[in-house]
Parts: sequence; C-alpha cells; structure tokens
Amino acid sequence: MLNNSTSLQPRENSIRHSLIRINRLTVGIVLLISLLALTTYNFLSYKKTLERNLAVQARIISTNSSAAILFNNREDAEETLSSLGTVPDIVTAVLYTKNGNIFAAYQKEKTTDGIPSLFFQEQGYQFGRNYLSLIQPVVIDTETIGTIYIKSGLKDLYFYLLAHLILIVVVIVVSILTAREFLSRLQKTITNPINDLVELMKTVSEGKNYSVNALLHGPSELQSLSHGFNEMLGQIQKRDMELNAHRQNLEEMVYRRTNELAQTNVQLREELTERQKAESALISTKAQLQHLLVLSPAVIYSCNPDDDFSFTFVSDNVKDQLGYEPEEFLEDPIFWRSNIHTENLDLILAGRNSLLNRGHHIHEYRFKHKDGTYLWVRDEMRLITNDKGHPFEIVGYWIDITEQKHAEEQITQRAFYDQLTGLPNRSLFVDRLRVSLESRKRNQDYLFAVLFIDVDRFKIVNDSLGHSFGDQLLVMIAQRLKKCVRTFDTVARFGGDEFAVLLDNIKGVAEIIPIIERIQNEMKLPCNLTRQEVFTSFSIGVALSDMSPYTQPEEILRDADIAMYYAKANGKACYVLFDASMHAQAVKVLQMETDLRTAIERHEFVLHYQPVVSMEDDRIIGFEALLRWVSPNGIVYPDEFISVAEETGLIVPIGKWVLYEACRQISEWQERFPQFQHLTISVNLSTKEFLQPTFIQLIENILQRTGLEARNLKLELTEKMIIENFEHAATVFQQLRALNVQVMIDDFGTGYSALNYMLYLPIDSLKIDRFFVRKAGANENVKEIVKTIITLAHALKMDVIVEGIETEEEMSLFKKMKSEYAQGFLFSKPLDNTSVEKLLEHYIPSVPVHNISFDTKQPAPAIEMENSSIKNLNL
Amino acid sequence: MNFMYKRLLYFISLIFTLWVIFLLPQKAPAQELELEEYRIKAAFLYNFARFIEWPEKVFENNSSINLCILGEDPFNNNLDTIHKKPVRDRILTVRRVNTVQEVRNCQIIFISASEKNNLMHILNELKDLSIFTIGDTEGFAQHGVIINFYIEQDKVRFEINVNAAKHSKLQISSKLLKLARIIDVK
Repeated sequence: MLNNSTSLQPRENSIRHSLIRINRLTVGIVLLISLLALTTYNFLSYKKTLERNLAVQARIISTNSSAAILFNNREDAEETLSSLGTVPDIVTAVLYTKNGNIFAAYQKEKTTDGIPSLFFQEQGYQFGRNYLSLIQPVVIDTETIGTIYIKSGLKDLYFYLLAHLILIVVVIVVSILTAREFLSRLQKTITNPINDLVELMKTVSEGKNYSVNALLHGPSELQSLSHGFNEMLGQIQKRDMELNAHRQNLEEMVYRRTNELAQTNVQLREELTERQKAESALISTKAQLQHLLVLSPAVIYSCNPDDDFSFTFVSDNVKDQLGYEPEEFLEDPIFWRSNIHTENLDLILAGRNSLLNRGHHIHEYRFKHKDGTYLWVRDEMRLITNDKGHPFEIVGYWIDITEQKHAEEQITQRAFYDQLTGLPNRSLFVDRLRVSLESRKRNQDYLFAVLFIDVDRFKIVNDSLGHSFGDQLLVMIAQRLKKCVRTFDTVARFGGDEFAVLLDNIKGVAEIIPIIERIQNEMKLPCNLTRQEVFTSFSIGVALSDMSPYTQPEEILRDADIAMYYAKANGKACYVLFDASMHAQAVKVLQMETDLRTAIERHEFVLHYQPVVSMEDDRIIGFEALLRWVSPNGIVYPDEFISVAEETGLIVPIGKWVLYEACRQISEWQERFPQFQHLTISVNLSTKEFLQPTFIQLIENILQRTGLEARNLKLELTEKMIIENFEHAATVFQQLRALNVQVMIDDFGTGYSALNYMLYLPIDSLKIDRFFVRKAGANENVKEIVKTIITLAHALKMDVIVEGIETEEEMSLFKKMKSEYAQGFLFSKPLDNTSVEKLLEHYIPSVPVHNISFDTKQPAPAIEMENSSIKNLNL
Repeated sequence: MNFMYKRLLYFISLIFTLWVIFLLPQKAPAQELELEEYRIKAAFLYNFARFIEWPEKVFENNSSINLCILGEDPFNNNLDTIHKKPVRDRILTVRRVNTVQEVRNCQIIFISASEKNNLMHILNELKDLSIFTIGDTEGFAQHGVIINFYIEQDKVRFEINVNAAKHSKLQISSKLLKLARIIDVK
C-alpha cells in the first residue's frame, strides 16, 4: 500500500512540487492584494485630484460671475462659463440665482444630459458611474448670491486606471516567472536530503533491516531528522525483539484460555438445556393459567393502589363477562369507575378505605355491560404489600352475580311483598313503620299517620262474583291506592281485603284529610272489571303518631284498626280518626275479653227465662233462654259482651254452655212439674255457633245428655244469618228438621226480608219484632204489613210469635190477627230459674200469666235496662 | 325650457365677469415699469458699493458708507431695503440731501435727474473728494459722473466713466467694469 501510493504519484505529492505550489500561491495572493491595493489607491487619489480640480473650476467661475449675477447680466455670466470649454472633462456647468432659478448654463457640445434643477440636489460632491458633480454656493463677501453646479466626466479617470492596471499585471507576470526559476533551484537543497531519507526508509521497511544508517547532510533540521531516524531505527530493533518474546508468551496464554473456554461452553450448554426445559414448563403453566382464566367466570385483575386505582392487568375473559376489551380498562384510568352505577359509587369509595385499612374487601355493585345493561358484580380484592408494609398492588376478581341477585330479589319480593298486588306485605309495612317510629324518637316533631283500610262488602263481591274477580278487584284497588298517596308513602296489603297506608313525615291532620278524601273519591269510581261494573267503598281508620306514646309498630297499627272498626260501625265508606276514648273503649273490650275467658271458668254466666204464652188461652207453653253475666262488677247484659265474644270466638264455648244449660233446665222442669211436660225452650244462636261444622252433632249430643225431646227445642236465628250463609243454612235446617228440632226466624221484618228463602227452608215459626208491635196500634200500614206477614206465615205452615207485648190492646190486636204465641212484660219479664220455678208452682192455666203474683229476686234497675234495650238482649 | 335659458344666462354673465377681471391690471403699464426700474436700481446701488474701493482716509470720521440722494428722490421707499445693510465690514446708510454742501460726509451720491441743470456745479464741488457719484440721466457720465444708469432692451444697464473714477481715486473692480459700458472722456 505505502509502496504503491509513493510510486504511483511521486510528482504530485512530492515535497518539491508542494513547495512550488505553495510558493506560487503565496506569490499570486501577494501580488493580487498589491494589485487591488494599488488600483484602489490610484482610483481614490485620482478622484481626489479630480474633485480638487472641480472645486477650483467652480471657484473661478463663481468669483468671475458674481458681479454678473448681482447685476443680472446673463450674457457676461454665460461668457464666463464658456471659458470652461478649454477644460476637457467638464461636461456641464450651471449658475443658479439665489432663488434656485437657472441664471446661466454651459454644456459641452456632445452632451445629452439635461440641465438639472437645483431643487432636489444637495450641496457638495456627487459621484456617479461616469461623472463627478459639485454643487456649491456662490458667495460674495459673506452673502450667498447664487449656486453653481459643475459636472465632470470620468473618461480620463478610467483611462488612467486602465493604464495602471496593465502596468501592474505586466509586473506581476514577470515577478512570477522570475520567482519560479529561483525557487526551483533553491528547493533542491531541501528536497534532496529528504529524498535520501525516503529511499533509506524504503530499504529498511522492505528488508526489515534496522541496522543501516542515514547520511547526515543538508540543512540543520534535516540533519537532526536523519539523526533522529537513526536513533529510532535502533529503538525499533530493540522493541522488535521484545515484541517477539511477548508474542510467544501471549500465544501460550491464549492457548490455555481457549481450553478453559471450551470447558465453560460445555457447562453453559447444559445450563441452557435445563433453562429451556424450565421455560417450556413455565409456558405450559402459563397457557394452562390462560385457559383457566378464559374458562373462569371470574375476571381477574390487578391495579395500583393509587388514587385512580389504575389497572395493570385485566384478564381477557372480561370481554365475555362485561363485553369490554381489557385495554379499555388499562388505558383509561376512570373507565372502570365511570361504568359503575351511580347509586353504588359511595359504596366503592367506602370499599376502598376498607381495603386500605384491612387489606381485604368484598363488595357488590352494578356495572354497566357494553350492551348498556347493568350487571351485578361481586368484586373481591386483596391488597398486596411490599417488605416494608407499603401498599404495592391490588389483585382481585369480578364475578357476575346478576342471577344470584335476581334470585335474592325474588326471595325478598316474596318475603316482603304481596304476590297478588305487588304491594309491601304486613312485615315490610311494620318494618317501615318501625323506621318512622325511630325517626319520631329522634325528633318529636316528626309526624306520620297510619291508615287502616278495609274494603266494604268485599266478602259479598268475592262470594258472589268469584275469587278471581275478587283478586282483580284487589289489584285495581291497590293501583288506585298507590295513585292517591305521595311517592314516599307506603301502601301495603295485609291480606284479604285489608290495606294499610303509611303517610310519612306529615305536617298535621290537615295534610292527611285530603289524601283520605282522595282515596275515597277514587273508590267512588266504578271498577270496570272483565264482566262486571262494581262499586266499592272503604272504611278507613286513621292513627296519628302523636296520639299516644307509641313504641311498637303493632300499637299504632292496632289503634288504626280500632278506628277502622269505628268507621265500619259508623256505616262504612267513611273514615274515623283514632282518639283516646277509642283506646279506652278498646282497653275495655280487651279487659272484657280477659274477663269473659275467666267468666266461663268461674261459672259467672246464668240464664234468665221469659215465658212464652199461647194467645189462645194464655197458657205458658215455654220459655226463651236469655244469657246474663254475673260479673264481679254486677250483671252484664249480652249487648255489652256478645260482640266481644263473637270477635274472640268465645261465643262458641259460651253458646255451647247456653244450649246445654237451657236444655238441661227445661228437661228438669218438665220432670218437676208434670203439668208442664211439653214446655219448649227457645235458644238464640250466633253466627259462629251456627257455622261450626260440628253444630248438628252438638245439638244431638246436648239433647241426648239432657234427655230433652227434640221437638221442645227451638233454635232462633236472624234473617241475616240465614241469608249470608244460605247454603249452610239449607243443609243445617234439613238436618235439624230430621232431628225434629224447631227453627225460628228471630226479629222478622227488621232485616233483609228476602222472603224467598222461606219457601225453600224448613222453618217452623216466625218471631215478629217488637218494632211492629209498637207501631201496629197507631199505624194502619204497619198493621196491614203485620197482618200480611202473619197470613204469609200461616200459608207456609209457620207459627207466629209476637214479642214485646206490653199492653192489653196489643194483646187483643194480635189475638185478632191470629198469631199463635206471645212474649212480653204483659205476661212476664225474664225470670231467674228460682222465679220460674215459683211461677210454675203457682200456675193456674185459666189465669193469665201476668196476673200471677209471685216474689222475685230480680232487682228493679236490671229490669229497666232490659226494657230499654230489650231487642239487643235476645240471643 | 325656462331652466335651460336660466343656465345660459348664468354662463354668459360668468364669461363677462372674467373678461372684466382680465382687463383691470392693464391700466397703467408705464407706471408699473418705472416702479420695478427703481427697485432694481436701488439693488444696484447697494451692489456697486461692493465692487468699489475707497481710499482709507474717507472713513476716518465714520465707519458706515453713506449713500446720499441729492435732489428729488425717485426711489420712493425702495431704498428702505438697502438701508443699514452690511457691505463687507461696514454698513450702508441712506440719507437724503438737498444741497451739495451737505454731501461732504457721503461716500456715494446719487444725483437725481432734478439736478440736471446744476450738474456741473455739483461735480465741480466734489472734484477732489473721493466720492462715488451715480446718476440715471442720459449724458451724466459724459459730464463726469462715475456711473450712470441707462435702459437697454428693457434692462437696467450702466456706463462707467473710468477717467472720472481714476480722478476720484476710487478703485472699481474689473468684474464691474466687465459688465459696464466704458465711457472714456477727459
């Protein structure tokens, strides 16, 4: 390489040629600079001369023409100017007056320039491409009397410059040629010793012979170079030997190291195989995990425990479960939170605190699926901490629990909601009521009301139109009720036809009255159901939370219920506000209920007997048994306790006792008083007794036990009882007829008077109510009705008993009408058993009963009471 | 029609008015020229002072150059412009005199045409004094007034009696001489 380059380009790269080039360049640059400097100097100095000449000319002209200007003599001025014709360069000269007007002008023949106006010109020199001009004032003494403009061509200047240039160029050419000749000779003294050195070096490098030496000649620097070269050769020779030794050493080391490396390589290869095995195991584990993740219904995730909970991993199956790509969670830090149902967001924040405090948290919330529906998600997360206990990562999973939630909701729905109407049931209502009570405990001003609503005559609708119709009606009522109350009020169905409404957070009674009225107005509208148009009404009981210090929901419900009963008693379709007196009444009833229970056990009940007399001959043909309660507080009459007994069901055991006792007593008397072997006993029945499925057996049983003949037992029922339980009545009556027990219609004419039942049922007698007895004497119409009833009864082969006969007139009136039997104070008031026995002892059939005098234990006030409410006393 | 007629009448009257206005300044051309002439002559009087050199002794008593108008003053107020104007290191002052006895302190005397008949007497009185005499009456130069104005081709020119100047020991600049008609009589 080195040899090649030196041999290929010896001339161009040789020191000699380099020196020549350098010299030429140097000389050229120096000369060029000199040329430029000289030319510039010449130009400037000649220009200066030109300017000076121009100034001199201008001065001469202005001095010579000053008088001409002053004395306004143009001819003279022009003559002066024309003297410029002898100056070759001057092209134009103009004199201007003080005002700037042209006074006189001179121009060289060939010039085509115009005479310039002074107006825009500045004083002094002006240098153009081919002219030099001067403008200066014409002054005499110190006064400026005009201006002179003088312009010179530059032809001479350029000629002079050209001549100089040519001269300098010639000098430069000559200088270069001379310098070249000299330099080429002088260089050899330097280049020759260098060339010798080069030759020597070639020899050394080709022959690797470091023992040769260079000759010392030429300039001193070259001599020292040659000397240094010789020393260097010596050094190289020494180093060469050292290097050889070192190389041998190195080669040995490399050999050793190569062997070691080969061994290590074998080891590494083994390690690599092991690692590959481990890696493939890891990959297969990862794949298995991946499979599991995809198969799992749970979405696994991890996130940072920072403020945003930004996700670092979300398993791929999130797409199957929630419809989103994992990236959507990873890229947008608020994506997860923004899809949580707003109602659950508080929960999320609370959950986060719990997680950070306890390290573990489970919560359930609604999450928006990509398709827009909300899913219930269970989110269980665990906080992973680093060695120092700082939160490091959160891992967790989401699982879709929508179905589970749905099932739970259904269970809740069943537990707390009425299946038919979808309204809350009693237990949910009570819960809500409890919440309201709690609110009231905290704030005494907090007021609420409970409405207890009963659908009037629902039972009739249900029985007559069918259960499914009844159900439809209830659903419609539920809808209407909900419509009437405010959104935060609770409407509940308690079962059957009972509804309750909780009017929460009200300001006072004034606020609830409109709501109640709205409910009632709503109910006045007909309910158009599938087949039928039905009108219903509500009886509403209202209890206000401030009526008494309620602590239990049941208490306020009970009071509302009581008020509702009052409403019912008031004639239905109305509402009653519960008040303290009702409560007192209720307490009284409750007390009575307790007392009634014990009354049976303590044998506090007694029977009184009112004689029944034959109209024909005033004979006693039997008695009506009347129940009395000899309580510790005195005698209590049935109108006070029968309703309670009916409600509580105590009527059944009481009624059983009455039947038994009456039958037993009559049977006893029949034996004691042989002349009264055919005495009859009338016993009033209550609905509940009558409806007992074992009623017939009971009668049979009693008759058997008391030994009373069945035909002597008369059972009294009201029309209402028969009509409301018509089917039952038909069966029972047939059975009674079979037993030979008599059936009597009590209070005939006061109730429904649906006479047709009389045609179908086996009834033995009618009892005409005392209402007709009172009126018949005075009112002809009533008399006619009574007459008709009696005629009807006779036509149907029924006997007629008239009760409440008090006067002889009444007696004779009904005698005339041919009624068979009579009861009343005219004959006898009800008597206790002792009095009856006395009466029977002293009885003379030909003497009317009321004329028989006998002692009575009965106190007078009791009779008075009985007298005033005689109708209700009948059992 | 009526409108067109009115416009025509208006146009004619405008033309007439303009014609009258154009005629007005042509009333006294001669008088106007004369005024211009003396304005120029006044300026010349001042400029003459710049090209004349008096012997030093003339200014022994005062420093200003006194320009005296002898006889009727034809300059009106044109001399006001040159009164108190500097000439080299002196000031030109204009004075009006009626008799030749009053002119001994003057350096320049303008001899009005009104003194035509008295000219010889005046010149005789001033004979040995270095006073620069000026006139504007034909023949004055020939009679010995140093500079005399004349009109040539509507331009104010002047003639110089070089002998009279030499006699008065006044030096007149060649620049001035170059512009003047030279009168060379004894």
